[in-house]
Amino acid sequence: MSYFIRILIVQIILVVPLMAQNKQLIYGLDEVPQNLMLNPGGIPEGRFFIGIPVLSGLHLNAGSSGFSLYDIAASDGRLPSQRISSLISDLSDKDFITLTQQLELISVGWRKDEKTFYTAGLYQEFDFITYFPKDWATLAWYGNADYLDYPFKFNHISARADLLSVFHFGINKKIDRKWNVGGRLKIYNGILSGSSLNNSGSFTTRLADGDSQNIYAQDLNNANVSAQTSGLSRFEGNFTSSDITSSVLFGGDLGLGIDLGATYQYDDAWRFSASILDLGAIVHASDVKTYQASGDYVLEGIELEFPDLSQGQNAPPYYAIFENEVEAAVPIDTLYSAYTQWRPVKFNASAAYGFGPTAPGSVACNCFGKGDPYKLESEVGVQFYAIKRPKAVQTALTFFYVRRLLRNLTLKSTWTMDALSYTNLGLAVVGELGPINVYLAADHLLRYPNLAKARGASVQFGINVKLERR
Amino acid sequence: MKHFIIKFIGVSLFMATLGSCVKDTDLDQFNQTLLEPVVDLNLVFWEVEAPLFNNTSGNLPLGTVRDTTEVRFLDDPDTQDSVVRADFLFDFENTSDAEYDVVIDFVSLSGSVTYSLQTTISAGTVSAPEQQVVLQEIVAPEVSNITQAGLMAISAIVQGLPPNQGSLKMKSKARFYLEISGQ
Repeated sequence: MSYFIRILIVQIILVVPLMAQNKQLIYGLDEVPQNLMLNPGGIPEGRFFIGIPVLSGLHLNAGSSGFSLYDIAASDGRLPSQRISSLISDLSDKDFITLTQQLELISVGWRKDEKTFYTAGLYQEFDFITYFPKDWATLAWYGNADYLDYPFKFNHISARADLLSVFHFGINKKIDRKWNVGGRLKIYNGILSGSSLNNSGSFTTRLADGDSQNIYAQDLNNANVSAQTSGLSRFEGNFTSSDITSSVLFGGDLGLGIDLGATYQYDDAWRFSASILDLGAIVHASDVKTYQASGDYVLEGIELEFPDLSQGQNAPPYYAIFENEVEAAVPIDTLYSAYTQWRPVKFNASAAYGFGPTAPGSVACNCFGKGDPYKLESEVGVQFYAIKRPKAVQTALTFFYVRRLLRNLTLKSTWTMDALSYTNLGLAVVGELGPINVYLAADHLLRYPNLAKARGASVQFGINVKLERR
Repeated sequence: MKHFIIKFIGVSLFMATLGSCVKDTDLDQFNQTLLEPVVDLNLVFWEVEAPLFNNTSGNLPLGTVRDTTEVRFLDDPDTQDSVVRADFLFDFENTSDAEYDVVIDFVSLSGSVTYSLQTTISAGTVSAPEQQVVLQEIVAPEVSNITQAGLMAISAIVQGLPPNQGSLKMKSKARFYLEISGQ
């Protein structure tokens, strides 16, 4: 039975929300080649870059919208059951937990000419989100005795996890002095996927009112609950490292997507940009299982008939009949047909204002206004981020300040407000030592002295070899 | 000065990233956490019309009816581990002019009675039914007798002559108090 309590605790911990894929520290930061992954229409620097395999882009992000680890596991003398009761009361079914991990395996970019820059590569991604199943956590924690007439709703169950690799090829084109546009084609290779989305119906216990011959009418109303998986059997049995390699390369479910982006340089000071990412879907066609239960049923209990039995005759198998009735009314089917899942599409936009002297290493003056806009030492601006999630679009607003301290050192600090926190401060450092480009970014810095009190944490790190333009 | 700032920020970020920690929490305390849901369930229900008590064709004496059903969730190992109290509510309605002894036996799958409950239902009439509610609260350690059972056997025995009209009805529910350990 401890299984249930662990599931409940894991659900609670996992439902901590974070804008899991928001990379506000890297977006718009031209010094980091991976910036182009967030906006294919960004401003590419240099003539060539190649990421150090596996080390060029590591992104980890975890978060929760309703509580921190400290909220449920503080060693403050309170009983954990008191804290769990409070959380169940305080959280809603819109609260969520996310976990995202990305790892660049191959990343390369090269300039074709003054106006065209290509990027290509392969990265692996794991993305998980679960909403807090408030009604079912309530049922598990309290039971139904004090919840007569309350419909426990199945739409509170909503979770999705995807493990995939992504092959991509992008083109960045400089249209003129003001416009840069770009697009990227992505081929998704779905390794593992599981989801339970769009569930509906409810379970209610109420005093019978003519619709049940017993004391209660325990009503399963319009239940429609499903869980879809693909690729699970790949991880059964002896799973070797070569299986991982072949999984990351082609072998999973294929999908197609695009990224689009643009940057508009209004003048040397103002810059605007926007991008839309992962506009695409994966067709899960192999190793697919969909478990689905749907129907209506009023659970009355077992009706005895007191049949006239002769010696040696057994009573009717009431319990088996009851089970069969339930199974007939709410059949649980296993389907093997392919299904399509859209990727969680993301949107980024920013407005930046540069000021101060020209950045170290930049040309001192763009006096005729005809060359590339020159880079200023400081920038402030605002960024907007949105991601389509199963129950709602999640958004984040970021104010940032970029300071180019030396020719080879850039800092970006951010203040982000999202569903998790209004005080999320972050800092990115980009350094260049010769051709070596290194970046490190982290947010929720105010909580770093004790991460247990953070509702989220995010770290990005990468090393590239980057060659400047001749 | 600039170098100092750079070094300071760099070292701070590095330390913050690698030196961050999780403090003042104790995940082991969840081992002592108890889920204590209280679950209400419908149980069995039935209605026996008066003529059935006059039936002599079966193997039961005149005026006696008996039936048995499996209740497999009771002796489920998870239930056995977690039920600390069980309240049973039996709601009778008698519209016949006879009085009944009702025996509700909880029986293990091997056939032995693990818990028995008896009550007498007073006579009523069709126009003025006799309503009677029996509430049985069973706590530990006695409740383990309930969770040993996989069957419920119910007998109703007429006291005196079987009735000619009316019926005896029973509805029932169970309230289980569970304690589910985090360990």
